[in-house]
Amino acid sequence: MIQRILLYILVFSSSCIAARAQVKKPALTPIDSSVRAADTTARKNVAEKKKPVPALPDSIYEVPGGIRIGIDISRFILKVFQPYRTDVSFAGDMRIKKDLYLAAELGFHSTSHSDSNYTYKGNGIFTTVGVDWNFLQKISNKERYMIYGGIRYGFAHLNYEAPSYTIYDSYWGDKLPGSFPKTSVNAHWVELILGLKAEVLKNFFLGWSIREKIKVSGPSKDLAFPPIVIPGFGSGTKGSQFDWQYTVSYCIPLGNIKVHVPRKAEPPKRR
Amino acid sequence: MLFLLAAVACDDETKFCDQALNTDLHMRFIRDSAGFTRDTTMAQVTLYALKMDSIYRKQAVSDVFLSLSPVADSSRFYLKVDSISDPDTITFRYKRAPHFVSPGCGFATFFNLDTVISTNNTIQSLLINQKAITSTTNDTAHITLYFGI
Repeated sequence: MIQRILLYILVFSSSCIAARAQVKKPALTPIDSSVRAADTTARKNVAEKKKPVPALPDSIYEVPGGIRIGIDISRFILKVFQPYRTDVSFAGDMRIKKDLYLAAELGFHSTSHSDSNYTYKGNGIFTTVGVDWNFLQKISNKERYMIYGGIRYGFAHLNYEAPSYTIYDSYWGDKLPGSFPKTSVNAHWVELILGLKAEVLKNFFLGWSIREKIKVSGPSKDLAFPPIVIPGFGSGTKGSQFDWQYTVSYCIPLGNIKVHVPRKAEPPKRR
Repeated sequence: MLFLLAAVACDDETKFCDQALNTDLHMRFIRDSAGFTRDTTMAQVTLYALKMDSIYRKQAVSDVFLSLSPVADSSRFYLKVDSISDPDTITFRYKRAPHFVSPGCGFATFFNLDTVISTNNTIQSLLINQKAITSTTNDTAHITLYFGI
């Protein structure tokens, strides 16, 4: 009796091992015919081979997720070159898939300029929303470096005015003073972006990007009085604008993102 | 690399004025001889706004540029094209509008001609080619003056 029980246990366990071998082996390499011939375990389970093979499970692994929030320090450098501008811009992104990030920016701007011809005041806010796609092939799933391309839709609302101006005429000898009242306008544009981000300390990132902004609608130079600067876009008299960004950001870890990799279909067996 | 990008993206548009702020009216002279017209150079052109200094004084020119008053809606000019012809008076009536030329240049006055009237002592007729006066660098004359002499 004891011998029979031991025999049943042996047969049951060997059949389990054979079933597991059938699941695992095809995913690695196709089984060679000579190896198959020597696989005595499989021979013992002819009845099981006739059963329908269950669908192979897909591979799932996790990559770090979270919301990355940063400030664009290039706007402070910009003030050295364009002292009439004051810009503050915040950038954020959130991983939604392995290589896809939802990205947005929010900022405000003010312009103040005065010379012998005119004075100008303007202020406004802007936002952009879009996605970034990471091209970098990672060595480890935990790696968070990025080389990316992105696209954004941008919107700005601004108010501006010329409290005073003077037009000089050398022939008539006239000085014609005047002013332009406060004007409110909206602008819309599209941005194409190339950039990189590096994790320099745990959860701290430095990144820069270059971007081409193409105005879709908004004030143009054909207006009698276009704005000098459109917040978030740049020059108020240009239809397109090249720009750059340098961000310092912190990633708030909010769990991991599951990456679902479908199992490749098994190649058909040779007969 | 970043410095180069900064230089490209950060130019100060308020520092330099690269456009002319004068919006002068351009007039071209045409001689009409029995229906055959040709550009002509007048020998001694004198041109000035009434009660103002001369813009041209006995100069040989084929076209002239003149500045309309930026503080009035009409300007009147004296024109004498040679020593023997009688002078004419040309009156321009127009609308004025300030226009922001660029952040570096500031504002200029743009004009839009309504009517142009002249005496016909020497001037035979005139033609308004372009009513908007927005740039001095425009090659197209705003007005063509036809002379029968």
